[in-house]
Amino acid sequence: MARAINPLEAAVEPAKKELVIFFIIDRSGSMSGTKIGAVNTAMREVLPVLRGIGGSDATIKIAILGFSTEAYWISPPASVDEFIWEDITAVGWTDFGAALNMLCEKMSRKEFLNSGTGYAAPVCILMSDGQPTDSWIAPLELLRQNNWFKLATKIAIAIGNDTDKKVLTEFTSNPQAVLVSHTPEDLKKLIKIVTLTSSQIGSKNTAINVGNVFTDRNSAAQQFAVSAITTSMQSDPDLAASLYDDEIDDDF
Amino acid sequence: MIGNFKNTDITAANVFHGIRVVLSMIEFDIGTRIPLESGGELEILRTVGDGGQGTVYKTAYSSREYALKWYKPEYLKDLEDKGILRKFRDNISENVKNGPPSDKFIWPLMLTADHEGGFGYLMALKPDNYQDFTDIFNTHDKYGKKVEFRDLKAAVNSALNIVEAFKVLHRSGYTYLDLNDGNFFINTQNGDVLVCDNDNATSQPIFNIGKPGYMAPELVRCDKGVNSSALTDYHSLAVVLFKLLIRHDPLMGKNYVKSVCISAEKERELYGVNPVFIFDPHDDSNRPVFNIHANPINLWPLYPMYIQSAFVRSFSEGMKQPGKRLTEYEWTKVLVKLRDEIITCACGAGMFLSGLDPHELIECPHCGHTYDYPKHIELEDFRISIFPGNEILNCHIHGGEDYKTVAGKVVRSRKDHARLGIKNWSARSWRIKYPDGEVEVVAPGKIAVSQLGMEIEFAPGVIAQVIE
Repeated sequence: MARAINPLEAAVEPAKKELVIFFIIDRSGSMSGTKIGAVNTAMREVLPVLRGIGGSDATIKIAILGFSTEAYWISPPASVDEFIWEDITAVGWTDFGAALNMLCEKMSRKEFLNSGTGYAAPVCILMSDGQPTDSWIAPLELLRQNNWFKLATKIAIAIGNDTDKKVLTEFTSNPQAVLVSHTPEDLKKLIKIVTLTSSQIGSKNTAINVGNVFTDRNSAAQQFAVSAITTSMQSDPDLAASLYDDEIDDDF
Repeated sequence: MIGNFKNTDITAANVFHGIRVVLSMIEFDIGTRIPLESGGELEILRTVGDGGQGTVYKTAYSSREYALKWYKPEYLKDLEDKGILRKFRDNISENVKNGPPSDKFIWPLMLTADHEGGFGYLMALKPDNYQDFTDIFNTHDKYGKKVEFRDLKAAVNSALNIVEAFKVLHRSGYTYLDLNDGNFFINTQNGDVLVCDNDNATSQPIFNIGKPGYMAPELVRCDKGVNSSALTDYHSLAVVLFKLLIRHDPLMGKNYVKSVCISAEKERELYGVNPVFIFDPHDDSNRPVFNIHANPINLWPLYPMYIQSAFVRSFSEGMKQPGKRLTEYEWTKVLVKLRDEIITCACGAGMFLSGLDPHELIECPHCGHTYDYPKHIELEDFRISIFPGNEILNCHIHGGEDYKTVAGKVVRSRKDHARLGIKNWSARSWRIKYPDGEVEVVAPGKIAVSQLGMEIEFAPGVIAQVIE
């Protein structure tokens, strides 16, 4: 007797590259109250929207690194399909250097990026409102040597005018990739726009070529993401204002 | 500034499937009215979906409901920066004027007027009983709900219908820019296919856009003088069919895995500069990797040789010589052959006969019911299993591509379940010659009892034989 076959019954979820979005979140004391509240709300709302964005191209994973007095991984890379955001609290110093060291250590094939299916260039989203209270220059130099970090799309969200934007610019290596929020509402919107846009661009490399000029989005992924994010921001009067005016008062 | 949007948090419109989601950060308010180019206004009812190029809304216009694709500001800006925004819009306008090539295309019906610097177009809504191809490929939708074909016949029908859609599009003078899995809605019950995003259908390719995994390598490389055409679409068609049947990317093998981080530069290498089919018979450098690429390893050997050969020709020879890629006609022929091999158990499970020993009983993997290995109707190079429900199609009898018109159907006798017959569904009488020399005419609507060795003349000079 021979058992007949239906090949499609043997089909499992196809192998896809992974896109890991690293959120590096400042949870020092100055973030407590409305700032961390806005971060919690935005993260809780945006993560479910990421489901399905990878489509047939990529599996999207989320990793959360928090830093205050010391740094620690709130979550290693986990599939966005199952991710449930648990509110974080804010207390302590701003040990940014410790966070950079941890990021560098885990952005490695031997650590977090060990899937055999291949990876899209990672996305790193840094959110901070202050100035580092530890030594961060040497850790950043080390991180810049990390090949994953070199390829990553790096975006920073400055929470309020008091943030040391120079530090964030050092992280992104691009002043345009540092976006400033002045109100809890702006912060929520920015987190969502940045997360959605960078994950859409990161998971799907759609090229538009005119004539025989090859333009790909990933080789300049960060620039492309920044451009898409700022175009999006221009559609919102509040966010558009913060793009062009450095003197807006904070309302945190 | 582009678009008078509201940055919404969670609106009632975005609560569906029991999960609260924010579909798009920047979206229209419910009730927003947008003028149409041809006059009148549409009203936004709710957000339906979000893609790379735009956001889709359910809208009302003139007492009827439509879908609105509203382009994302960043997409329009990208087109504007490249100097092709005007041409892009003109192309949609031209498509609206010309109308759809068939009712299987969810075609642009009306353009909106410019509204706060943005625009979009109206089209029919996706019927509820159709699924996204992406969800079929992934085996589940974004909420984790399983998505699969009702049976094997529905799956093969959908492949045939995708080929048919390409054929209709090409014969109407269009090519399809940015072809990918997001362009098809499929009825998983019967394999019916609808093609969406037809703003990308064009008779004058003004630019090339796409995901490298679907684009012909010459387009990925940006070869001089190469534009989207039927030949480049044939590559995309083969990719879509491979993803449908083998559930894998045809170029994702060892080379992909070795690349670790698939930057755009790497993608250009893997899909453009050095594309190697994972089952290339002359180059084993990019084979699927054990423990990583389960689908191609498990599914590929289960398909008959002519299906494997069709993919090999498309992706091995056709990679460098676009003229070698299979045309729609060739795909139709091999897919009809594949459909002819399917038997459907009384429990509803569909299976291929391919690779089974004709001397053994066949066991349904689902209900355990057993069947004798069926006899076949041999007609030209087709072999149709004589199994209840199987069909003789116009393309079997007359050649050509008409796989939809049924000329005959295998039926089981109500009185004697062992007796099978072929019912004449055509408008023409068949002439039957039994092995003992007896001749019978089977008029339309009548049944010819199947017998080993009998000959059926379906049309003058088109003689089939019942064989083991």
